[in-house]
This record gives sequence, structure tokens and C-alpha cells, in this order.
Amino acid sequence: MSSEDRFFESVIRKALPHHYDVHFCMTDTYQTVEPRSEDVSAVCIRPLHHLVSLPLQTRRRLYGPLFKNQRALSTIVSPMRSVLKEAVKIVTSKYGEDLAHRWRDETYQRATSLFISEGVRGLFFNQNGIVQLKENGESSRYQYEEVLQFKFPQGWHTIATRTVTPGLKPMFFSVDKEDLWEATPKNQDIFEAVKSLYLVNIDSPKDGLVEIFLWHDQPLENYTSSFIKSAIKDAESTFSVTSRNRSIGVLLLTASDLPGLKSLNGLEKLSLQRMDGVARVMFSPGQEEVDAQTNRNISNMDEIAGTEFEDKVFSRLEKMGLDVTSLFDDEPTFLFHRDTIDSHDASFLSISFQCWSGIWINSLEIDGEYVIS
Amino acid sequence: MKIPLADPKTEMPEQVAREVASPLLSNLLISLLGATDDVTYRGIATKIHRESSPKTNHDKTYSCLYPNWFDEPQLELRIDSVTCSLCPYGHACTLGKDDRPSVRLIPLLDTKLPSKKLFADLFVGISNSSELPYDPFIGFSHQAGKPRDLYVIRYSSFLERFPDGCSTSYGQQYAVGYDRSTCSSLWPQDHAFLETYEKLNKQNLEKFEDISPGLIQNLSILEKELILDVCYENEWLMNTDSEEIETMFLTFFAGIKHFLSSSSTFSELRGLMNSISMPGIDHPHRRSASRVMHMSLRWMEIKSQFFQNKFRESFGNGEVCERLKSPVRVPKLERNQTTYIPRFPALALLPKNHQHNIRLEHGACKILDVHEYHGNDVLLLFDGLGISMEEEI
Repeated sequence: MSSEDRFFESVIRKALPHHYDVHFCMTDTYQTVEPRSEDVSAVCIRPLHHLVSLPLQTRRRLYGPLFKNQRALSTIVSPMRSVLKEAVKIVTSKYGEDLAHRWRDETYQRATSLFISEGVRGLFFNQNGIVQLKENGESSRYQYEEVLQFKFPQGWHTIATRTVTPGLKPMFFSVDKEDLWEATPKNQDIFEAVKSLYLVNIDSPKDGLVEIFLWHDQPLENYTSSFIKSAIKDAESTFSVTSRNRSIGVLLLTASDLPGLKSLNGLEKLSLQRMDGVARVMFSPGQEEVDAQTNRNISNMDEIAGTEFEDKVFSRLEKMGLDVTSLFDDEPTFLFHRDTIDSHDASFLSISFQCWSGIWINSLEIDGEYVIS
Repeated sequence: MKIPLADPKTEMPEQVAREVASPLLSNLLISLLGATDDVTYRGIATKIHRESSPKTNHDKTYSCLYPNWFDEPQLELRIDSVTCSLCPYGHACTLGKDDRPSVRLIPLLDTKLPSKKLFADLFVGISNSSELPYDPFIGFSHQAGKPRDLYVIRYSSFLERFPDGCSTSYGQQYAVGYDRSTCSSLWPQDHAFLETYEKLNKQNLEKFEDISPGLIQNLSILEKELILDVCYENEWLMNTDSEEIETMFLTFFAGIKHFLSSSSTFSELRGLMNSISMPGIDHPHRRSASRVMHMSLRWMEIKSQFFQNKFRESFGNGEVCERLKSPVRVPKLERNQTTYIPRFPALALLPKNHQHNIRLEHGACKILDVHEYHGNDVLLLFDGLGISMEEEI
């Protein structure tokens, strides 16, 4: 390992929380990383050009278990299939086999998508799910009724009911009868299947993964460690922190027209089209002065406007071919970084952003590749 | 061109040169030609199988894959490549045959296909793992991993057939479909709206009530801001327009909102209308207001021709009405062509060492990955998601 690699790995590791399993995947093409432990969230550090492959590789990673892991397949899909098998019996008796089978296939695809993105909860606690819990309108001060509904082709239909005393709300489902549900004989089988599906208590096939796509315009040791750490730490701790799968781009730039600074190549420029949402821009002006008369260095964000440093930033962005208008059109969040121990002459800026990985975030209508009519 | 989706698993039998010293064999082969029923054929096949088997075992013998196809199956019988070459059931046997699932690549509109090796390497390279099918569309196509047709087309030809009709402040990544009649992207909310709208008798909709100027009072500040924002973005309103024209637009959309939220025709959508929406995900508008207002504006954006008479009635202003026309030349649709299509998942192949000005998100396709190759054209390899593109294009 070269000294640059060692420096790179050591700085990045320090920038990230200790609980992460950090992988460095600086290969020419996108290579999948197998997590070393299923319980630990992993971070992959990748070069920027891997970002063009992100939607393909993310869905491949998430949907892969349905293709390759037969054990997972039986655990994940079988309870779902049992639910649909029971539901199909009911739908067939009402609407015939053709409609029932078409409905089953559509529901299965939708449920698989929900499961991939939200785990088993997605099937139960989502407007697009297959089961919902509702409070019945008729209630008294001491008791009220809850209904468990299943989404059939013509809408939600009650399959079980229970009476709940306020303050003594039972679990959604339990292995015994403590959940208090009473299913009608006609719906007993589908109710049992739904209950089994819930109690399987499976979650999304893999634990979370953070992918950081990093680009820098000169060797990393030429930046200060604190600047690199701040840029990566800020991005990691800001973007979609509650999501299991996160993809973040971080560009480290030198605000200077020094010869030898790298520019973005074709694939890297294309990769920037994966930017999704508002960027964060961190300025680190080093020894840049507010103005020549006072000889005072820039010490906060408000002092940047109108300085030579600001001109250098725009000139650098333009020279790199970055679309400044689109980058700043959505009013990015601006941050100020000031080196303390390792103060430096050069001035830098970082641009960080979330990336489109091909996964839906919560939307009221999750739908995909269907022909509408 | 066919590209397999898995590693080869077939083992070719090793060829041997052996003289078959059976005087019976030629007669049996002739008799086979005269066999008129399955039973006779099977009987003769069994004899040929036995006669052509090596009389002594050698190191290149193996067991028949389908001994039950013959009478009195002899499981311990060893055969070799000579036996197989004479086997009367050879046409149906799978030994040594490549029965891996594969996809067929179909070039569209005079696209010249690059080499088979390029695609085979691409599929394997993307996979990263031999445990998964070598299919780039896993997670994007319900048919992924299964044999089907995929299409290859020049990027420029694709965009000629499926132009991007509208601009949006948001990327199109959250759009779910494409309306070929207007070349617009469809967003999840549009999908839900069109499912109801397309079932309606449009004549009922023409009985649209008169738009009363008083309806503007029902608009919230957020709704007014949204309407003006969308109108300016679509260039229905120009900076030079008077405040009076702004008010006319506000009144017009207040009328559509009123119609949507009060007409029983749209009662199916009432639940959706009362829900919240996410800008840039459920619809392409930058601002957020009531869902019904977003729905009204999207109705106008994707089906503006429907409103042309009503619009003329309200505005009586030819210049403003002209602005509703799409600036994009919409390709003519044949009767059998699908109006609403999904956004096809695609891979882009870019000529090496060329400058490229491609976009990764389009109304009718989303580019999932980009690869460089030695060729001259920017190509798209895409999954038709069950639509036969030879007919559609």
C-alpha cells in the first residue's frame, strides 16, 4: 500500500463513526462489496465515476437475495405466497380465476417492492401495503373496535375484528390469542396467513450501506486532514441519516488556478447527473484575506462575498466545467471550515450531495414499470 | 443475437473414434425410417442404442442422461459419443446442448449491433457475482433473469421517437411513465389520475360548469403561488403579461380545482385529493400546495388539448391560447400503439474517447449504467418491460 493510500484510509476512517465497517473500493469498475458482518452497517468509499452505475448496482444488491439465496427466498417469499394463495381463493370465488390470478401477480410484485424498500412493515403500515389496521367508528368511553382489513381488488375488506380497552391495547399480532383478533370463519385462513407473515418478523434482506463517491483534484495529502475529515463527516452525518441505503457524493476542490490540478473526465461529469437534491458547499479559505488593506484573513461565511477567494472559487468551478447555475440554483447550504492546528496557505472547497440510487423514498404512490393502459 | 444469462453448465461429451462392428445397425437405422408409431420407434431406438454402445468400457464412456426413453432401461449401460451420434432421440437430448436462459438482442431502426462479445462481457462484468443471473435489469424488470427480448437502438433515434416534451425543475428520476400523445413524463400522481381519467366518458367532462370568477376566493395563498409558479415555468404566463392575465389564470385553475373536488365523476380520487404529496416525487412541481391543486395543474399540463375550448372561452385571447401548444413536435401515434408507456430501464454504450452530451434521465427511459466501447454511435440497450418495441417504434 502506498503512503498516499495509507494517508487516505487513515483520514477517511477518522472522519466516519467508529461503528462502521469501512471498505475502500477504488477499482476501475464498480465491484460489489460483501459486508464482513450482517449486523454492522458498512461504508464503501468509491471513486466518483462508479456513480454512473449506482441505480443498477443498488437494485441488484437489494433484489439479488431473491435470485440467489434460496434460504432467504423461502423465508421471505413463502409467507407472502401463503397470504396470496388464501386471498386468491376468495377473489376467485367472487370474480373468477382470470382476474384473481392477474390480481395476485400484480399484488405480489407490489408487495415484493415494498418489502425490498421497507421490510415487512411496508406491507402492513403503508398506504400501498396489503393489510391495514383501522379503528371502527363506533366506540364508547371504555371500549372501541379495531378492524383488520385486507386489500382485495375492489378495495379494503375487513377480515378480523377485535375489541380494545383504552390503555390496554394488545400487540398487533401475537403467537397466542392475546392479540384478541376474531376472524370470521370465511376469513380464518387468510387471517392466519397474514398473522404468520407478520410474525415471521423478517426485515430487509441486508443491513444498511452508505456509499461515498469521492473525487479530489490533487493528491489527498495536499489537503489538510481536518478539511477532508470535516467534508466527509458533514456529508455522512447530514444526508438522509434515517435511511438504510445512502449514497453521497463528495468533491474536494482546490480554489486555485495552480497547474496540475485534475479536471473531471467524461464519466465523472456524467456521474454528477446522479446528484439528487440540494448540495452542501463547504469553504475553507486558508490564509485568504478579506481585503488587501486590512491584511485580515477570512474568518466567517459573511466575509467571503466580494473577496478574491470568491472569484477563485467561481473561476475554478467554471474551469472544471461544473454547471455553476444548476449547482447554485437550488440554493445549496453553505458552510465554513476553518483549520486550526494544520492551517494552510491553500484554500479549498468541498461540494457534497445526495445521489439518486434508483430506490424510491417514501411516496404515497409507489409504482414502477407498469404499462398504465 | 442471443446473450446467455448464466455461466455454461453443459459438459460436452468427449469425442471418440470407434468402429461400430454390428451388422444389425444399418438394418435398424433403415427400419427406423419406416417406423409408423411411437412404440415401434422406441423399440428400434432401444436396439440401436444397445448395438451402438461400446462393448468394452473405455475411459471416455458415460451414462445415458435419459435411460427411461428406451425399453428395458439399462441404467448400468455405458455409452460414448459414438452411441450418442447414432441415437434416434438425439434431437431431444440435452447432453452437451446449451440450454441456458438467454436474452435476444434486437436492433431497432437500422441500429448496427456491436459484437456479441461486447454484450456478453458487459453482462458478465455488470453481474459481479456468478450467483445472480447475468441480467443488468434485475430489480427493474419483472422478467429479469428470464429469457426475453432486449432492444438496442441509437440514442439519437430513441429520442426522436420519444422526445422529452416538458422541462421540470426536478430531475425526472421519480417519474414513472411517459405519455406518447404529449411526450410528457408521468409522475406517480399522474398515474393514479390517469387510471381514473381514461375510464371516463370524456363527453361527460365537457359539461364542465362555467368557471365563476368568485371561485378565486377559495384559493389559498399557497395555491395561488403554486399556480403562478407553474404557469410561468410552462411559459403560459410571460413576464410582460398584465396582472389581469394572471388573475384569469388563477380563476381558470380555481375552476378546475372546483370541478375536480366537487364532481362525482372524480369521486374515486377523493381520497388521493385529500392526501399530502411530496414535490419532486409525486409530481414535478417545485412548490407544495393542496394535492387537488397539483392534480388540477397536472391535468392541464398533460392534457392541455382537452381544455383548449374552455380556455379560449375563458380567455378569448388567441395569443395566450397559443402558448398551451407543446413546443415539441409530437410523433404521430398509430392506433395500435400504446399511449402510456413505462420508463424503460436502459444501459448506455458510449464510443470510447469521444465527448458525450447525454442525459441519464429521459421521459421514456432511465439510464442505469454507462459503458464505453469501441464504436461510433451512442447506443441504448433497453428492456421493453413486456412491450414489443418492434411494433411500438
